[in-house]
Amino acid sequence: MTALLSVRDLHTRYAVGKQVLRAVDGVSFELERGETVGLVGESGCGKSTLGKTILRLVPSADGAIVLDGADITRLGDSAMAPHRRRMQMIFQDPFGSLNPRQTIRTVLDTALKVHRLGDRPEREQRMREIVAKVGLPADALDRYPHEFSGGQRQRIGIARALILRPALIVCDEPVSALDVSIQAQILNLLVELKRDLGLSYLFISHDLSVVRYFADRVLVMYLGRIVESAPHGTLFRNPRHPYTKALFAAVPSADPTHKRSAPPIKGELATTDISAGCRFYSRCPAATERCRAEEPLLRPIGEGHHAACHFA
Amino acid sequence: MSLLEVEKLTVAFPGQVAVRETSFAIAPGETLALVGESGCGKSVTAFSVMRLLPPNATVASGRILFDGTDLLALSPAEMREVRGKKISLIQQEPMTSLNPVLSIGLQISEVVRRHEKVSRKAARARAVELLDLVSIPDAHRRVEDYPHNLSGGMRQRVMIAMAVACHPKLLIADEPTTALDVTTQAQVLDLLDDLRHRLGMAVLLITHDLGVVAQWADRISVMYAGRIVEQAAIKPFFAEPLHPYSRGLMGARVDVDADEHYSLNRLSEIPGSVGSAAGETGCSFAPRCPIVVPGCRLAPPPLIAHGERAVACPRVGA
Repeated sequence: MTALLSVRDLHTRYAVGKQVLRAVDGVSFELERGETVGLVGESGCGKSTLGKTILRLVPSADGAIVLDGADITRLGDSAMAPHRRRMQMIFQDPFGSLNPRQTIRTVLDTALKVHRLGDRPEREQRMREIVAKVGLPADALDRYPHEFSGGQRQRIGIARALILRPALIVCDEPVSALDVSIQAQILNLLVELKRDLGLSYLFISHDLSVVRYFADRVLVMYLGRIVESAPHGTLFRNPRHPYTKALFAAVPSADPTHKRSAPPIKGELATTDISAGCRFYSRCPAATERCRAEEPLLRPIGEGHHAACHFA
Repeated sequence: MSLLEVEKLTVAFPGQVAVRETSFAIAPGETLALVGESGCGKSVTAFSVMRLLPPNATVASGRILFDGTDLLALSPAEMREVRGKKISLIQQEPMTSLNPVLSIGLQISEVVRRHEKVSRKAARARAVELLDLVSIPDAHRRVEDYPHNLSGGMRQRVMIAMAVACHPKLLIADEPTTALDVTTQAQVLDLLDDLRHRLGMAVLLITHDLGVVAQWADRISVMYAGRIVEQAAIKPFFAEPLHPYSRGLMGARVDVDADEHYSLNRLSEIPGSVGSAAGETGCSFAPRCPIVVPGCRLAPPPLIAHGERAVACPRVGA
C-alpha cells in the first residue's frame, strides 16, 4: 500500500522585490495512513509555506505532491476539486479564518454545497453530527463566530475541516493562540477524532512540547530544508543535529531546579544565510571549515532517523 | 521595604470588573511573575501601575505605592516623571511599540532627553551604549537602522534598551517573549535577567508560560478571573502548587522533558473556560473546580497565608 501523502523534492519560491526567496527548498517526506507527522521550526523556516504548498494553496515551483497515489502537483481547478475534499486545513487563528457575518450553519453548509455533497436533509444531518462530534452545543449552528470563546472557535475550525470527511488534515499551529487549559482540551479532541475517523495529520508547530506529545514522527525544518527527521521517541531522546539540540535546550523547563546546560544559540534565523555550505553554519556552535564550504545532505544515521549534518 | 505595593486594587470596565481587590508587593531587585490566562486581569494590573488604563476603565478602589508614594494620587505631569524613568514597560509586540519612520537611535535618544538634560550628541552616544548593553552587534552602525531593518528579537532588544535607558527601579515586562521563537526567547530573558542584576532593577514579569516562570522568576502570583489565587516562591510552588487552578494549569501543561505521548496518556484538562466565572457570586473557579463544595459558591475566598505562601482556597490545608 502506498503512503497517503508523498512529497518529493518540493520547492516553493516567493518573489521578494527582485530577489527570490526559497521558502521551501527541496523537501521530501512521506506520511502514512493514520500517522501524525510533526513539522517543527522557527518562524520563517518555511513550515507553513510547506503545508500550504501541499494543499495547493500556494503554487509549487518544482517537485511533486502525490496524494493516495495520484500526482496532484499540476492539476487544474476542476480536476483538483475531488482531491481538495480529501485534505483540509486547521488554522492557528480560527476567528481570522471565519467570516464574522456568517452563522456556523452557513460556514459548514457552504463547504458541503461547493462539493455537492447530499441534499438539504442529508447536509443538515451531517452538520448536526459534526457539531456534536467536536463538542459544541447543538444550538451552535445558528450562532455567529463572535459568540464563541477562543477554544470553541477552534472547535468550529475543526468542524469545518472535518465536514468534508477528509483523509489528511494539515494543522497549522492549531493550539498556539489558546490558553494552556484550553490547549489540552483541543489536543485531546484531535486525538479522539484521529482514532474515531482514521485521520492522518501533518501537525505544524513551533512548540516542541506539543509536538513531542502529539506526533508519531517529527521533521525539523530550517531555512526551507528538513535538517533532521526521526520517530518522536528517537528524536526527543537522541537529537543529533546541532539545531535540533539547540531547539530542545532553549525550551524552558517547568522544574526550577533544572537549569539549562548550554547557553542559547546565537542570532536568529535569517534568509540571507543561504550560501554554499550548511544553512545553520553562522549559528552553529560546532561549525567547522567543511561546514562553510560543503552543504550536508539529509542522510540516514539510524532506524528511521535522518540528519543533515556532517558530524551527526 | 517593598519597592512596589499594590493594595486591594479594583479596576472596572463598563459592565465588567477586570481586577478585584488584588494585593501584591515586589521587593527591590526581585522578579515577580504574574501568571494567568487571557482575560484574567494581569495586563490590566500592569497598566494600572503605569497609569495607562484606557479611558473607559476606572480604578474603583485601592492604592499603588511605589517607593512609598501612591501613584494613583499623582497628577498627570508627576506621573510622566515616573513613567520611563522610575518604572518602564515593555510589551509583547515590539513592532507596534516602535515608530516605523524614526531610526532606533533617535527613539532611544528621545527617552533619554525626555528625562535628563543632555545634548543631542550625548543622548546619541548613550543610545549607542544602550544598544551595546542589550548586545546588539555593531551598535554604532545599527543606531541608524529603522525598526523594519531588525528581526523580532532585535526589536525586542531595542525596546529593552529604551526601557532601561534611565535606569528604572522597576521594569514591567508584559509577555515580552510571546511573539518570539524559543531560541530567541531564551536570549531575551537571559538578557533581562542579566540587566536586572547589573542595574539592580526589579521586574514584574507577566506571562502565561510556566516554563518561563520556573527559569527566570523569584516568586509567582497566579491570577484567575481578576483575583490572585496563589502566591509563592518559585521552588515550593513548582514542587507542589496548592490552589486547584494552579494544579490544573501544571497538569494541563505538556512538558518537553516528560515522556508523554498521545498513544500512552490523555492530557489532563481544566473543563470549561474562564467565561464560566461570569455571574459567580462565590469563588470564580468554582464552576471548573474538581474539588468544589457547596460552600465555595457563597463568597469569594480570601487569600490566606500558609507559611511563606498564600492561597485563596478554603479547601487547601483544611
